[in-house]
Amino acid sequence: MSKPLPKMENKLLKSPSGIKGFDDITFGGLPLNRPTLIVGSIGSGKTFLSMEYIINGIELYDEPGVFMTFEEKTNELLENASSLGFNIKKLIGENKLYLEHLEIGHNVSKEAGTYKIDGLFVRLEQAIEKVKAKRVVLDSLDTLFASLDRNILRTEFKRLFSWLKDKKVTAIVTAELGDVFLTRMGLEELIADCVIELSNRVTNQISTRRLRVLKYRGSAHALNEYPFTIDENRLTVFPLISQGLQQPSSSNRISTGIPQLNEMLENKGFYVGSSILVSGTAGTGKSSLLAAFAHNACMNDQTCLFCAFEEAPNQIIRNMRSIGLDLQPHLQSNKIQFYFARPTLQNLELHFMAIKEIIGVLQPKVMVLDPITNLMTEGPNSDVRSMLTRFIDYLKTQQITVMFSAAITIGSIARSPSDEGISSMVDTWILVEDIATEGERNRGIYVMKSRGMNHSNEMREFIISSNGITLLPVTSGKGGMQIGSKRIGAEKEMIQPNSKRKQQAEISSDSRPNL
Amino acid sequence: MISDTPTSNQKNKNRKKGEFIFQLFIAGNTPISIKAISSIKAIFEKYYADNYTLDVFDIYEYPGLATTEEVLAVPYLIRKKPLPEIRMIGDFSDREKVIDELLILTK
Repeated sequence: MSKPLPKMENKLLKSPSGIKGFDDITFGGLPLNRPTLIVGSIGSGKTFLSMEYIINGIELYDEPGVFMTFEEKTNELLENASSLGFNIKKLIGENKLYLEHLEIGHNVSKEAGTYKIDGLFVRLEQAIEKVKAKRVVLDSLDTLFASLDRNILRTEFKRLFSWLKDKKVTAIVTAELGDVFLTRMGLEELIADCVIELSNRVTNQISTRRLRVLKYRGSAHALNEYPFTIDENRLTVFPLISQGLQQPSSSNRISTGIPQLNEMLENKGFYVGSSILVSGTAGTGKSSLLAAFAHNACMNDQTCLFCAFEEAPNQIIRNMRSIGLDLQPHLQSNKIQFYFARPTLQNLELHFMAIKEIIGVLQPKVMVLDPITNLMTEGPNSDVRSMLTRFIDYLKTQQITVMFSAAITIGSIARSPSDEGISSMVDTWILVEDIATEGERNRGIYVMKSRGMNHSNEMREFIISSNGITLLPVTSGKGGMQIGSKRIGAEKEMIQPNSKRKQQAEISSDSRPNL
Repeated sequence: MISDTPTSNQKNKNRKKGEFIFQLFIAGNTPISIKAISSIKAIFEKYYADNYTLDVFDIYEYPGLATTEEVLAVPYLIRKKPLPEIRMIGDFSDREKVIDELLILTK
C-alpha cells in the first residue's frame, strides 16, 4: 500500500470557494485535494456553505461536484437549495453535479461484530466517476453513522479521509458540534488539514452567524471570527480586514456646515475621509449637527448617505426644516439618500452590508449615521466596536467623510470605559453637553480632539434656532464664561451698539421657548 | 442512476434452494469478509440446513448493487425472504445477536 511521497510543493495549492469574503480569510480557499472539516451547531449554515462551494465549483471553476447528504432527503435538499436560488436540477441534468441521500435504514440492525464502511467508498467512487468530480461534500458525516460503534468508526473515517486524498478531490466534511470534543466523534483529530467552525449566536434576540478558521495546516489564515450572512441567494463572509493599512489620508478639508464650528477647526473644518463622532446626552442637538453637515455637503453638490436608526426620513426632514435645514430638495435631486432601518430588524452585519451596497451605487462623499448607539443595543459593545472599526476603515478607503452620533459623555466613559474605544477610533470627537445653571439648560460644544489639526480648546455655547445652528462667541463676565441668560445679561451690560452681538442675543432669546 | 446487476449467480457457489433467501455484501477478500461468510454459514447450516439460499456479493465487483441495496457498512446481510426484510451490519461474530435478529427460534 505504501506509495512514494508526493513531491513537496513550496506553496499549498488551494481550491477557491468563490464565496465572497471566504477566500480572503483563507487566503485562497480550501486546501486542494484534501478534506476540510466544517463544524457547527444546528442551523449554523454548514449545508449552505458546502452547497455553495460545490455550485461555485461548477459555475465558476468548471469543477464538477458530488454532494452526499446524510440528513436531508434528496428531494428535500433539492427544494431547499432551489428556494435559496441554486439551480441544482439543471446542474444534475448537465451531469456536473451528483446528489445523493445516504442513510442507514432505521430498520437495520447495527453491528453483530466488526464492520467496514467500504459501502460508502464504493458509492462515492461511482459518484465521483460519474461526474468526474473534483469537489466532494459529505453532509454531515457523523449523523450517518451515529448509531454505530465509535471506536471502529474513527478508524474507518481515518481510512475514508486518506481515501479521499488518494482520489484527488477536495472534500468538505461537515459535523455537528460536540460536547466533549469539537465534534461528537472527534473528527477534528482525524482531519488535520483544515477545520472551520460556524456558529450562530443569539444576543439580544438577534442571531448572528459567524465563521472562524480554527486550523489550516500549511497556510496562513485570518484568525478572527468573522460574521457572515446568508441572503436570498448567496453566502457572504464579512471580512473587512487589513484595509486599514492602505487607506489614503487626504489633506483636503470639508466644511462642518456651521461656520463657527469650522472656526474651531482651524477655520477649515474636517479632513476629507475622516470620521467624526458627535456625542452627548439626549436632546443636546447631535442630530441637528449631523443634519447641518449633511445639508451643507448637499449644498456643495456632494452626495450624502443618511443612515437613520432612530427617526424615519420624513420625520427627519420635518424636524430639520424647523431649524432651517431643508433636506427635501436634496432628496428630490437625489443628492441625499436615506437608509432607514430599525436596528433590531436585523443584525449589524446585514445593516453594514446593506449600507455598503448603497455606497457602491450612490458613491457618496459624505455619510452620516444617526445614532450608532442605537446599534449598540443589539450586540455586546465589543462586537459593535470591531464592526464599526472595520466599517470606518472601509469608509476611509472610499474617502467618505463619516459623521456619527452617540450618546457618550465623559461621565458615561467613566462609568463604562468601553465607550472610550469608540471615541479612540474616530479622528474628530465633538462633545455636546447640557449645562444646567440657575434654572435653565444651555448647550455647550467642545472639540474634544481632532487629529492632525490645531483645534480650539474652548467651550462654546451653541443655539439651535429656526435659522439653523449658531455657535456663539465666548462671552466672559464675572467668574469666567457666561452662558444663557447670564450671557445675555453680560452682553446687555456691554456697550449697546454692538449690533452683531445684539442680533445673536436676539436669536438666542428667540430660541429660548423652543427649548 | 448507477446500476449494474449480477446477471447470474456465477460467483455464488453456495446457492441452494429454500424458503430463506439471503444476500450478503462484503468488500474484498479480507479477513472480515471471510469471517463473516463462515460465521453466517455456520448459523444457517445449523438452523436452516438445506432450506436457505445465500448469495454473496463483493461490492467492489458489483458497485451498482451497493447503491440499489443501500449498502454503506459491510459486511451487510439482507434477508430477502421471508418478508419483512431484515438487514444487519457486522461480521456476525456475535452469534447470539444474529440469531436474535433473524428471529430464529432456538427452542
